Order: sequence, then structure tokens, then C-alpha cells
Amino acid sequence: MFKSFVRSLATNANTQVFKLQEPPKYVLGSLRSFPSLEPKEFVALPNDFLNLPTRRDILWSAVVYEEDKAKIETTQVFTKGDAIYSHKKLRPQKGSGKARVGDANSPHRYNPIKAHVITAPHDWSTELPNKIYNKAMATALSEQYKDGKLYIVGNNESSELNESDSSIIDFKYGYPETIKQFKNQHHLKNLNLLFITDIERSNLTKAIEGDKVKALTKENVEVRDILKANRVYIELPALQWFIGKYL
Amino acid sequence: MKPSLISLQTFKPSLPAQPAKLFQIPKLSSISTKDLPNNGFGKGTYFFSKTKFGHWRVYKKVQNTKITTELTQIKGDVLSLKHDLIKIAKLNPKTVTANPTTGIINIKGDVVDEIKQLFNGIN
Repeated sequence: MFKSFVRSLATNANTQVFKLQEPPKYVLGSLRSFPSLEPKEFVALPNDFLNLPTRRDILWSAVVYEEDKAKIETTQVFTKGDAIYSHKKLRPQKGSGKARVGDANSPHRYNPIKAHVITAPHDWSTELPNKIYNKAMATALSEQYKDGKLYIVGNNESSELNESDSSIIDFKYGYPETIKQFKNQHHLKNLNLLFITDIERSNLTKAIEGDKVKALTKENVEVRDILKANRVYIELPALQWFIGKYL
Repeated sequence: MKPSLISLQTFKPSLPAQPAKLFQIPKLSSISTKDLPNNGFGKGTYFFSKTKFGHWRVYKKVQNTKITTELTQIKGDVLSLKHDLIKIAKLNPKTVTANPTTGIINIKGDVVDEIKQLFNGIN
């Protein structure tokens, strides 16, 4: 029945049956100045990077991959080969009325020696296909974008800036007071902030010392950093680099 | 035969890592409203395309004795495509399952050629 139906379709194809439509190509992001976060202009960014559905399974895989990669085995455990005790036989083979024993270096005795154990250094890193990791990065950024928590700082088509503002994520002075003022101005107290910069910004690094705020250059950003943050501030060149690398 | 020191394997020097290409921002004047998310896509509409090699993304999936036909990388309203497939191909609704999160539709049995023919006839 199916085949006969398909054959009939070949003669009178009805183009209106399947509701096929091209998906959107771009989403709009607003470029802002820093530190006032005043929106200056719109910028078109790929829909496949900033408007992905939330795939918790992919995010989970990526975070586990990152945690495993960061894990370092440092615990020193004694094994039988370490021979922390003497090789002397504990008691004579015969005549004690007790079981036969060898030396004290046996893992079955009450001692810190373990028979089979993972010792340092050990590589805990696991594998994940690049495609999955890249999609996780895009999904994490999409999540922040859709919640309106992704702030893009930059200057695309030479828009005018205020005197106190700049098109990069950096403060004029590198004192802790500047980040306090920034938080007060935008009502960001007790929130996890993440600043993603193209290159290292010295004043920003000095200002956030001893604070909950995180500032990373584009190469050092991980999926879990983006997921943990309540607000993400990213420079436009860094975002362009992200799209080039992870899309 | 004597063992030879010359390896028969071809020597492939590894290429230096290329820096990631920067995404070039298009001009806003070059974008129409159809390219933006509020063009109505996903509300009863969907997107199902060929691969870059020109094949429909319809595959025969063999899991021991269980054989199904899988349609992958469906964007938009996956459930709507499922209902349309059932209607057009007159399938038993119980044999078709859809996963809207991953964009996959599974049909019981091997109907790969028939589904491909269906899409070829329409596009």
C-alpha cells in the first residue's frame, strides 16, 4: 500500500503537503559600551550558535569531560612493593598455634598497605568528540543569551561612546572599588559574574582580586564557567573567535 | 623475506595548528526579516534537508533483530513532521516515534527507500 501510494505521488506531487520552511539564520545582539552597558547598536550573530535548544545531556557530558580533565590524583598510597616494614618473618612457621604469616608488608594485615589501588600520577581524563563539546559551548552561551544574561561589549560600525566608556571590558583604574561601583550601578550584588576578554586586561584583573567575579581570556573559558555565571560579559572579538572555533 | 628498515607506511608530517577563523559579522542591511527568529519558523513548520553530499538524512537502524528507519537532524516542529509523515505515507501512528529534543523520528521497519522517494517527489 505504501509503495503504491508513493508511486502515485510521483505523478501528482503536492508541494503543499510538507510544511517545510528555512530556519532563521541570524539572531540580533546589542553591542554595549563598558562600564555603563549602554546599548549602542545591533549586531547579527549566527542563529545556530546563540539560539540552540537546551540540551541538558550535552551540557552534562561536557561538564563531566572538563571535570575529569581537571582532576589530578595526588593521594600517595602504599602498595606491597613500597615495603614500608621490615622483611623479617613475624613469627616462626611452626609451633605458635596460630596461622602461618610472612612479613608485615602484606596488604591483608591491619596496615596502610593496599593490594590494588590507583596511585599518583594517574590520568583521569576521558574522551569526548569535538562536535559534542563544541555544541555544548554553543548551548551554554545560547542559554545565557535567551535569558538575557549575555552582554556583548564592543564597537562594530564606529558608534559614538561616552567619555567614561570604552569598547573593551576594562576599567580605567585597577582598584577593588571600581568593581564594587560597577556592581552597585547594575544591581549585581551576590551574583556570579564572568568577564570574557580577548586579551588579558590588567586593570580588570587588579580590580577583581579577592572578589567572586571571574575574568578569563577567551582561550581559558570552559562550559562550566559559562553555566555557573549569572551574568556573562564578553568582548565582541572574543565572541567572534568563539563562533569561529566552536561553530 | 628479510626484514627491511624502510617502513612501507607513508610519512605524514603533522600540520601546525591553524588559528580559529574569526566570524565575520554581516551588515544589517544585507539581512532580511526572514533570516531572523521571528519569521514564524517552528510553529507547525520544520526543516529537513539533505547532507552536503546530497543524500536525505534517512537511515536504516539495525539493533540486533529490531530494524527501524531513522530521520535525523530535523529542525523546528518535529511532531508536526511526524503527523505529516503519518498522514502522507499512511503509516500506523503506533509505529512512528519522535524525539523533539534531539530532532529524530523513528519508524518501525525498513522504509528508507520509500521515505527518500517521498521527499524526492516533493522537492
